[in-house]
Amino acid sequence: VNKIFKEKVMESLSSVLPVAGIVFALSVFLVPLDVGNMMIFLVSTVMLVFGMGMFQLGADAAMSPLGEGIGTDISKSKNTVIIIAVSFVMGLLITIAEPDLQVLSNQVPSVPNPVLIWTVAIGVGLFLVTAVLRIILKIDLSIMLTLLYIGVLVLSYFVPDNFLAVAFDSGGVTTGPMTVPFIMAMGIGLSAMRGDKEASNDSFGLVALSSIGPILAVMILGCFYAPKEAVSAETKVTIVENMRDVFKIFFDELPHYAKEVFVSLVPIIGVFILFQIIRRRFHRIQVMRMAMGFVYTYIGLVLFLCGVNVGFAPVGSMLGKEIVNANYKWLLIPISMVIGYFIVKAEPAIQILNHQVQTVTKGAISGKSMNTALSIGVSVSIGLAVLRILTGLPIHYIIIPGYIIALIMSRFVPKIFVGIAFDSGGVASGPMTSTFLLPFCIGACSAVGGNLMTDAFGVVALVALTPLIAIQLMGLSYRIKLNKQLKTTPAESTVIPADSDTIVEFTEE
Amino acid sequence: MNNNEKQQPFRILISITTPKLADKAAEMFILDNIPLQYECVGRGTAPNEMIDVLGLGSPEKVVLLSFMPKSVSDNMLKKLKKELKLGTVNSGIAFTLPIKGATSLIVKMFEGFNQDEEKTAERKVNLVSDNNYYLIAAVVNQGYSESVMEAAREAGAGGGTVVPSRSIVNEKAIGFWGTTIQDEKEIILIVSDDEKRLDIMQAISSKCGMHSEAKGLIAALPLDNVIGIDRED
Repeated sequence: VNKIFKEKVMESLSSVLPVAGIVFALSVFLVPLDVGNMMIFLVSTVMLVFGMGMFQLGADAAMSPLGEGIGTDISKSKNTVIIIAVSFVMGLLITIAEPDLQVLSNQVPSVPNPVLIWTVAIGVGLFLVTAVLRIILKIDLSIMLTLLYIGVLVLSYFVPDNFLAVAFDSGGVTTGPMTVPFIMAMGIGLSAMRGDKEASNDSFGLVALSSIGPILAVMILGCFYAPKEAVSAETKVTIVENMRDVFKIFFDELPHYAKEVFVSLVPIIGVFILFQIIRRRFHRIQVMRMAMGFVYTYIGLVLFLCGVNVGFAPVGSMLGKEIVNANYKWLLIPISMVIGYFIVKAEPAIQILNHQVQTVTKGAISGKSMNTALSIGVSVSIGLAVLRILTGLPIHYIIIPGYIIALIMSRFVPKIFVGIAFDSGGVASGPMTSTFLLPFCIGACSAVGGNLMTDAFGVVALVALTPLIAIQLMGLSYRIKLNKQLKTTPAESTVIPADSDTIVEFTEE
Repeated sequence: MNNNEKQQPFRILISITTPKLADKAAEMFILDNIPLQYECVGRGTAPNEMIDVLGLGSPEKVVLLSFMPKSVSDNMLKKLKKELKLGTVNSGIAFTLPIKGATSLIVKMFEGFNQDEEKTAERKVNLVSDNNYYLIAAVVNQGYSESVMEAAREAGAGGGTVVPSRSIVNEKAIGFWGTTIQDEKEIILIVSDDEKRLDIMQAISSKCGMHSEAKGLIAALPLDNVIGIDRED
C-alpha cells in the first residue's frame, strides 16, 4: 500500500473516530437516540473519515503549495504596493470562499448577508495586509496583538450584549478549513526567503492577526445595525424509518454542499490560474498534481461538510437537550469536556497546523504535544461554555480576563509559541465546532431556558480563546525546562579546549 | 600553530529515511555516544508520474548527518541496517562520505571510546561496497526536481531525495527594508553505482543544465559505504 495513502487514512481515522465513539457511547448509555438518527450518524462518520482524508491530501497537494508560492513570490517582488495589493485581495477572496462564513451570516439575521460577508472579508483583507507588513517591518507579534486586542476589548463595551458573542464567534469561524492551509503556507513562504534568524518565528501569526479582522468588523456592524433576536438555526430532526430514508437524506443534502463548496473553490482556483499565468512558478507535473489536489479538496470538503451537518448537528443538538432534560444537568459539564477533548482532532485544519508546526520547528514542538495542548484547551473551553449556559454568566467575565492572561503571557513565552498559540485559536474553531458544539450548546441552552443569543453563542469564541493560553503554557514549560537544563549542566562541560579550533587532517589507511 | 597531526580516517554518515526511522536512528546515535548530529527535512520522489499527479508521490524524508571515525561508522551502518531494516520498501538508505579534515574538537570527542569499538568493528565489518557508489547532487532552481528525476530515472536511477534550499548570491541577498531575500533552490540527491553514474549525470545535465531554465549544476561525490541500495523500487 502506498505510504502517503496509508498515512492519511490512519490520520483521518484517528481524528474522527474518537469523537464519534464518544457520541456513540453517550447515545447508547445516557441518552438513547432512535435507530434512524443513529444510522445517519454512523453513515456521516464514514463520510467524515473519507472527507477528512481527501481534504488533507488536497491541502498538501494544492492549497499549501499555492499559498507558499504566493508567499515567496510576493516577498521576492520587493514592491510594497504589490505586496499590499496581493495580500489584501487574497485575504478578501479566501474569506468569501470560507464555507463557515455562510453559516455565520445566517445566524445574524439582523444584518443582511452580503453586508456581513463583505465587511468580514474586507476585515480579513486589511488584517492580512497588516500581518504581512508586520513580518516585513519586523514588528514584534506580541506587541501588535496586545494593541489590537486592547482595541477589541475597548470596542466591546460599545457593542450591544446580544451581538458580542457572535462578534467573537466570527473571529474563530472565519479562519476555517479553506483559509488555514492557505494562509499558513503563505506565512511560511513569506519567511522562507529570508536569511535572518527570526524567519521561522515569523512563519506563524498570519492566521492570528487575520482572525482579529472579523471580530472588529462584526462589532462595528453591531453598532450600526439594531440587533434583533438571532435565529438559532434550530437544527431540524428528521424522522427516518429505513435505510432508504437514511440515504435519501444524504442525497437530498449533498447537492447543496456540492454547490456551496464549488462556489467557495472557484475564486481560489481563479487565483491559481492567474498566478500560474503571471509567474509560471509550477511546472507540468506540479500543475497536474495541484489540479488533482483541488479535486481532492473539493470532494473532501463536500463529504465532510455534508456529513457533519446532516449527521453531527442534529445529534449534537439532541444530546445537549436530552442531557439537560434527563436531569443530568451538572453531568453536562464533564461530558462536554470529554467531547471537547476529542473534538479538536476532528477539525480538518488542526492536522495541517500541527504538521506545519512540526516541520517549521524541525520536530522541536511535536504534533503530539500540540494535540495534547489543544485538546486540554478546548476541553476547558467547552466546560466554561456549558457553565455559562447553566449559570448565565456573561461572556465578558471569561473573554476579557482570558485575553488579558493570554496577552501578558505572550511577553514571557518564546516568540515562536506566541505565533503558534494565536494561530491555533483561529484554527481550533472550525466547522466541527460550529456544526456540532454550537448546536450542542443551543440544544442545552434551550432546554435550560436561557437566552440563546447571549448564552449559547460564544462557544466558538471560547474555543478560540483557550488554545492561546494552553499553547503558551506549553511554551512556558518548555522555557522553564530549558532554563533548568542550562542551570544543572555544570559550567566546565561548556569550556572548550584552547586548541579545539585547529584543523586536523585525516589519512586513509 | 599548525601542528596538524594526521589522524585515523573519519567519515560523515548520512541517512535519508522516513521521519519515524530518523528518530530511531538519532536515538541509536545518542545511545552510542555519537556527539554530533544534524538533520534537515527533504522529500522523496515519486516512482512514476501517475503516483506523482495523484499527490501520493513525495513522502517526507529526513536527512540525518553525523561525524564519526571510520571504524565506528562502519559498525553504525551495520547496526542501522539491522535495526531500521534499511533496504526494504519505504525505509531509506544510509551511506558514508570520507572527509579530509576537520576541527580538532570533533576528533577529541571520540577520544577514548573508539579503541574497544574498533576491535569488534574490525572483525565484523564486511560491507557491500568500497568506493563503488557515488552520491550525485544536482542543484536546480525551485520547481525543477520533477524534471531532474524524470531524466535521472530514464538513465537508470532508482530514487532520489529533494532538499529545499536557498542560494546565496550577493546582489540578490539584500531585499527591501533590510530583509534578506534569497533565491529558492532544490538539491536533488541520488545514490548511484559507478556504472550508471555518468549516464545519470549526463541525462540530468542535458535536460536541466545551465542552458535550461532549471540552471542545474551537477556533481558526484565518492561514497565509502552504502546500505539500503540493494532493493530500490
